[in-house]
Amino acid sequence: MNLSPEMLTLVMFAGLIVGLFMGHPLAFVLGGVAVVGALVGPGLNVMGTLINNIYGNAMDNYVLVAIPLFVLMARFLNDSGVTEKMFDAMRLLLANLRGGLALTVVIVSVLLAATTGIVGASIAVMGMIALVPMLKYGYNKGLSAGVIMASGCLGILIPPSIMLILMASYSPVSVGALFAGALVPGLILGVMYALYVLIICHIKPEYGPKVPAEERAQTSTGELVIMLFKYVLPPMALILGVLGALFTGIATATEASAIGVFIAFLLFMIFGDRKLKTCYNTLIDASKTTTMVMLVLVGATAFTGVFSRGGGMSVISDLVLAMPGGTTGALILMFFLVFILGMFLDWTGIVLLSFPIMLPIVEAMGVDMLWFVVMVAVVLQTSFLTPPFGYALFYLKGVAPPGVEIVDLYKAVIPFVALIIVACVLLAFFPWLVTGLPAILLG
Amino acid sequence: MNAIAKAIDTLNDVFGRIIAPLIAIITLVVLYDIGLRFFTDRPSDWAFDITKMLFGAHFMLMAAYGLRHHVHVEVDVIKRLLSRRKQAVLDIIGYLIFFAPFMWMLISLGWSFFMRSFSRGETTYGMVSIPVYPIKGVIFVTAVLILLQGIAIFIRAIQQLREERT
Amino acid sequence: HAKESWTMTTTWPDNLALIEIDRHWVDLANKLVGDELKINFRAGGTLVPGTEVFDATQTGSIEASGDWPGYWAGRSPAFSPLATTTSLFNGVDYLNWIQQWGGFELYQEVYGKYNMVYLPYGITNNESGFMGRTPIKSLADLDGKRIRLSGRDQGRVLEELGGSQVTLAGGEIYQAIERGVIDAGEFSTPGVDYEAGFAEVAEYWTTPGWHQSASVFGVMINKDAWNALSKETQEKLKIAADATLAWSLSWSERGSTEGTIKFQEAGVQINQFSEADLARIQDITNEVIVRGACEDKMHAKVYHSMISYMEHYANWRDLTVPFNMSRTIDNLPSLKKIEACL
Ligand code: NA
Ligand code: NA
Repeated sequence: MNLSPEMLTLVMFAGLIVGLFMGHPLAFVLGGVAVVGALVGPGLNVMGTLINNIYGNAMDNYVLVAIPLFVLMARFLNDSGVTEKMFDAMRLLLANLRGGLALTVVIVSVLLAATTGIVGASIAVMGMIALVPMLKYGYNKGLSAGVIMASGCLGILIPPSIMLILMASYSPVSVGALFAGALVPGLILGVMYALYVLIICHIKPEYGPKVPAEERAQTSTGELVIMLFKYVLPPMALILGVLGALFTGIATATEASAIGVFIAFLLFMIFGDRKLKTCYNTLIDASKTTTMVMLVLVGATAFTGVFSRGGGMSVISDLVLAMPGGTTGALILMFFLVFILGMFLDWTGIVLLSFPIMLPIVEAMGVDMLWFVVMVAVVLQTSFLTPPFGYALFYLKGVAPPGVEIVDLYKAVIPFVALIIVACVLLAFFPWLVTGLPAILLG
Repeated sequence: MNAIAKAIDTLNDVFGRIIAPLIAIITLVVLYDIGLRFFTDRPSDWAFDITKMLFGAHFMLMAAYGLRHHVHVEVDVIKRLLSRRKQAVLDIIGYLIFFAPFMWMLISLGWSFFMRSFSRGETTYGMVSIPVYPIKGVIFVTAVLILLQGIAIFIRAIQQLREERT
Repeated sequence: HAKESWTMTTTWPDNLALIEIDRHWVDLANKLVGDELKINFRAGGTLVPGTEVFDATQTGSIEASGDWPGYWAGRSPAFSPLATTTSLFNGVDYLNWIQQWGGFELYQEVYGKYNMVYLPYGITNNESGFMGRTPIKSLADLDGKRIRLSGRDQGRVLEELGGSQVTLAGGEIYQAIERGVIDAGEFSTPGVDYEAGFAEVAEYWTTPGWHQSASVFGVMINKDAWNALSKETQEKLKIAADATLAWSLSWSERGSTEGTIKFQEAGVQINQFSEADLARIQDITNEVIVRGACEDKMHAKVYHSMISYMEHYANWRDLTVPFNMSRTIDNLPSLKKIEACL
């Protein structure tokens, strides 16, 4: 068989959806559809690239080393018992604020975002440390999961970011300009998530309950101050340690995560049970999470390679070229396409597929390239969250306690995807929010 | 049949528990390199390549252990609603049409990928020559281990069907 | 319509200026060959990761790929001198050697072992040198410095000079310079480096780029795909390669000139190694080349051919000073020692 690119695109996406909802492991659905797609599409000989893509994109890729390191850091942090108590302390501190814990998640995520550039890492970290305490204190399941996923994704928008580095190498914008350009939109999203948390919890108090007065009264202000010092400072010290290593030039973004593991291990030795057996189980758990995150990438890279080779790119290109006149219309269509692709592909595939087609069009229209690339980066935040293929959903599901189902997560992301779209509109009307900081920093 | 499935479980359990500590070794290598560069201005000439290699080997070789312990991402929204018999049918179909072709490709292509590297004695091209082919061979080994675990799951699904029938 | 259809990619992502060399050849080749062949070119990374194009072309998963031979030096060190030299050839030396002194045949011999034909179609002259936030004005300043540098010979020379080779992923160089993880780093030619944004983070730049005195780029073609073409079409692809070779040399020199001016305008301070420093680098390089060549027979064979060319050409070249085309240099790696290793 030799299906046309249009048919192949349809068949491959349909295969993905069928396999996904059959409940088959996602990594094998992606890989299996890649093999079948190669057979019915471009032919047997392209399958050699399957191995090349898995090896080159997933295994032989230094910057991804940050994933196991961040996961291990989160596990040690968890086993030290510090994070659970940190959330206890924060809850008491923000006792009179509805949604205080959700707000804490946003703030910690933004800080964490400045230490890592890999999305799987930050979602797994926040999922591991924050979801259980929030559910324990009666927070709404959807709000808890949604705020963790959405804030966790900021890791790839707020520099450093592997996505922005890749985007820079496929566009005429430097890494530095992109980092500077994405910072303000990243912070705006963080603020929007925080405001949403406060507003929704104000409207629906049961979403993020206050601490009952009698419970708050059990802890004196003095005790609370001690709790804060003991359990909020250590995790903050960890984040500042990683950030410090990064900004003083002691380590690169990838290496800094190892310093994070080291500090988390120290916290485990200070606050944890210091048992060798716990330590070994930590390594096992961290390895499980790592292989979960990475194997999805293995499948995705195999899928994207065949999809691209089979002419899926030209199908999308034809769509873009057929768009109605007018710069605004063209831009909206392109962002919409990125959004739709984001439901199925991972960001790597989207950037590689769409940039070679879109950037020449954007350049011809005379649109600011930096603004456009940052806008795509912001739109791509949705790709982690939108069903059916949202990697943030899968990663959180992987570390979530029993009782949190994928359907809960599908529902949880809706308000946050809406917020990202609102942010896009904001950035479209006020482009200096993107271009302002790079202009100041880089001249 | 059940004995085969159990033996596969045990094999992947033992193997996974041996491989898991690699994650700690990766951390130590990165820390060693940072320390060396910071304190002596003489970074190591092997840490970069070794870190990358251990990383690739670690998550791949843990994959079968992950499958054994159901850690891999799957969406069971529909599957959960079905009877155990229908779940077994879905498993059998899924493992036949998605899993089997993918593993077959990984095994056959992975082997020749390894052999192309091994037959030439491919190494890294840094100050130190580190052999690359062991890591390229990891794809083949991983696929064999995952395939075995898949067979164990397949056997259990078939047994499920038989039990329902009798 | 076309009889054969090739899928071709390259090691370079869409925005790296070096991809222009690949595009130039593809456009020219597609124009020349008419109906017998259509080459579909895709930017690096979109089909196969850049590091895997060699394997994908060898197996025929794709028919052809642009490359820089040095990336494959882990398979055989002989790929290294086919790509660049430490303080030996300049761009015209590569042109001479490839076209008239037996270079072309050596590319076929080395790539041929991997079921591929090779058409060299790009030469860029000297690379930028070291850029960073630490001033390096002389070899003395290099002592104890951490430099991002690729290549084994390059690392060995740097080590003899007292510096340390740091290996970083390509995408991390920019930030590593900005934060001072490394004292300086090299990436490519001034035009390419400027586009990559190095003027935003580097304050100092030391020339010349002795670590990569000139570079060669080309296309790897799967042998079965090549053999399926008629002699005439093969000839046309070679003609396109020769034309691109000449074009690339001046295209990249023009780009380097414009890049340099932009670096100067951005206020980057430029320092040049003194003649005495360069002479010392040459002495060390000569030793390192002999040592490396003797570690592998094919490696030795390529260097033997290159140094023999330098000695042969010197007979006429030195008489034409100051109107000479290539380096006038007598202090070469010992041909006798390399011969002993063949
Ligand atoms: Na980040
Ligand atoms: Na999605």
